Amino acid sequence: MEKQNILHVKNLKASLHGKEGLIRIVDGVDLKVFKGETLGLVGETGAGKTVTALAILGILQPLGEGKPLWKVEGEVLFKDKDLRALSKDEMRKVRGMEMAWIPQNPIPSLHPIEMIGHQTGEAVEFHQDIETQRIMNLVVEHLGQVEIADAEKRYYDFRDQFSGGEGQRILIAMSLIRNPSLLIADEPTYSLDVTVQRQVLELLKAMKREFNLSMLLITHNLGIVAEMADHVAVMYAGKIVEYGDVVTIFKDPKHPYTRGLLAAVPSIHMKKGLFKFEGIPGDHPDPRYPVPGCKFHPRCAHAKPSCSTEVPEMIETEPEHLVACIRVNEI
Amino acid sequence: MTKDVSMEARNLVKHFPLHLGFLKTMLSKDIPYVHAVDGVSFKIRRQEIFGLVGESGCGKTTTGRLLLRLVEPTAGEVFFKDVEVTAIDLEREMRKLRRRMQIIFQDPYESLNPRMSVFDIVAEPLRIQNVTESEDELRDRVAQALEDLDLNPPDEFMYRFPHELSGGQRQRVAIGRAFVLRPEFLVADEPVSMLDVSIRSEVLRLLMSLIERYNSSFLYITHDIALARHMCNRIGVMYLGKIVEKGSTDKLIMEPLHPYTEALIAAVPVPDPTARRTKVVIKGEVPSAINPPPGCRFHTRCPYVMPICSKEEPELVEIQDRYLACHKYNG
Repeated sequence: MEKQNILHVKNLKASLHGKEGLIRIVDGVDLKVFKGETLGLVGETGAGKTVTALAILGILQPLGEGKPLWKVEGEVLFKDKDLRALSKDEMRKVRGMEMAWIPQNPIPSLHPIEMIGHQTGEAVEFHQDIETQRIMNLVVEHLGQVEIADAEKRYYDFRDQFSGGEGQRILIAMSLIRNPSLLIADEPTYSLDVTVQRQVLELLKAMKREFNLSMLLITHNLGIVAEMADHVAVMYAGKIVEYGDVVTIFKDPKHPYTRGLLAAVPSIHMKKGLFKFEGIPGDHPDPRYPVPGCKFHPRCAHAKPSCSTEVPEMIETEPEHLVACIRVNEI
Repeated sequence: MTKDVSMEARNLVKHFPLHLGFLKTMLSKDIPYVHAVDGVSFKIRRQEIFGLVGESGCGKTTTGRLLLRLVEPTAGEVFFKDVEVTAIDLEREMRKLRRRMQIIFQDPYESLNPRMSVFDIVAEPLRIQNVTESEDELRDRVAQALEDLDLNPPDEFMYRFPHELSGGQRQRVAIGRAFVLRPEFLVADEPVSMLDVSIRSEVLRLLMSLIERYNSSFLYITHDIALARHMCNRIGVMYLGKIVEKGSTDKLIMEPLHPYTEALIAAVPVPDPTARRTKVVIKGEVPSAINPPPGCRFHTRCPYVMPICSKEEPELVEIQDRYLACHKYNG
């Protein structure tokens, strides 16, 4: 059976208008999220993960409107319609009802002087013609579902009366109340402690099962990806360097960056002494000074002269496993 | 005191008064205190790496600072070799002692003075302690310290300023500053939590090699129990100002006895998609340290809670091969 994709991003580019001219942050990203599946987008700080999400959602301020900031190119197909061709109002409708976003930093993402209940139901109130009492019931039901105790009472509370974990759960309720077909979660547990992170992860898993959600999960935490994702895209310096299903990526990584990243993360189940504390030498490149050829070659142990001139294409090493490395068959 | 103990904390207590403002302070009968550290005892042996693990707000950072007397304890004693750190004169004698004990802070963006060059930063402890006899010797010591941390060539790095360095390089400078005095005891407070994973392992490897070279004993403070497993000989798990379980790393992680340790280990996402996952999810979040729960501080979240837990505080006693504070195993 052919899997149905819900989101298909083709050659997405996003550049920031800086002092030095256009700085390319996202450099030709291709992504597919299949229906009912989770795609994990992994990468380190500055790889362009969040900008990719914002570009998909169409909330990067485009060039030519007020203060020019971002230039976005490429195609974003959501349920086979091109989001980049939609008008502002149509796009708002998509963002409001069909595609939900969970930003990182839960508490600052909430409105400081609006009641939590109102905020949670706002999208429904705005986009659907439902009477207020029913929206309230819906909100209470959803807050209860994400395990906010005493939802009827806490409906009237403000964001500062909630903890980080609760804030994150409120954001989840806020996105699920619209019954979206795609959830974009950007580091949903970044600022949380591990025991609270565990609660949020279990909640996301349960919600995914219950609503048959498709999810684009952005994170730097390989443990979370291994647990949550069906497919994984590894991002480095604005490009996807490796894509495959989660088991292949973790058990048989092909790109030197993916290998280095996996070797750098200890597992709690690993015996003491087995973890070698091997990192990747050097630092993530500064997007202001683009690296020619393969962006990873200055840090790569397998680099050869042609790596600094030739931009590697995605090569399909086996079905559904793509690697952007010209030496993939040699190393 | 036995010869092989390098650092010992006995019943350390630190309560921070809560700032309420003038009027409230005058009117209220008793000022509320934050019970940051509430009776913590442990020994760190020579050349041992001891890990303090816990979530935010558990008092691990304060404990580390208490050992170096960067904050004054409310009660309790600290012994370093044969010196009672908490009893000596802070003005005159502490400076001499600081030559033998150093600290590495969490955030390399804030712990380095932006107006000082790398040379001045690393040379400052040597100058304050009057360790070197000539400018040449000072230069050599700084160059050596930078070289030890792979900041090559040192002559080039010496005259850079912190803003010209990447995060990983900055933290290496901070480590160099701590090691330039060849301390016998070192505290590292989350030294890599601000760094990306690919850089993290590299920094830790350098840190470990220096500890080995100078035979230092080491207190490693972290929230990352997976990393602690691979670094530390022994671990103490902290919850709300108290150590709840303490023992050798392998025993503690393979067979956690305290319900909190068990939950903490189960909560860590494992970077392996095929790993077996135990489902121990504890509810709620860490309660406030201003009014810590009576009895066992973990009883509000504990899945095995018994009537006695809310009444009587469990003592940290030797059980089997470790120290444990839990009624479940008492009698």
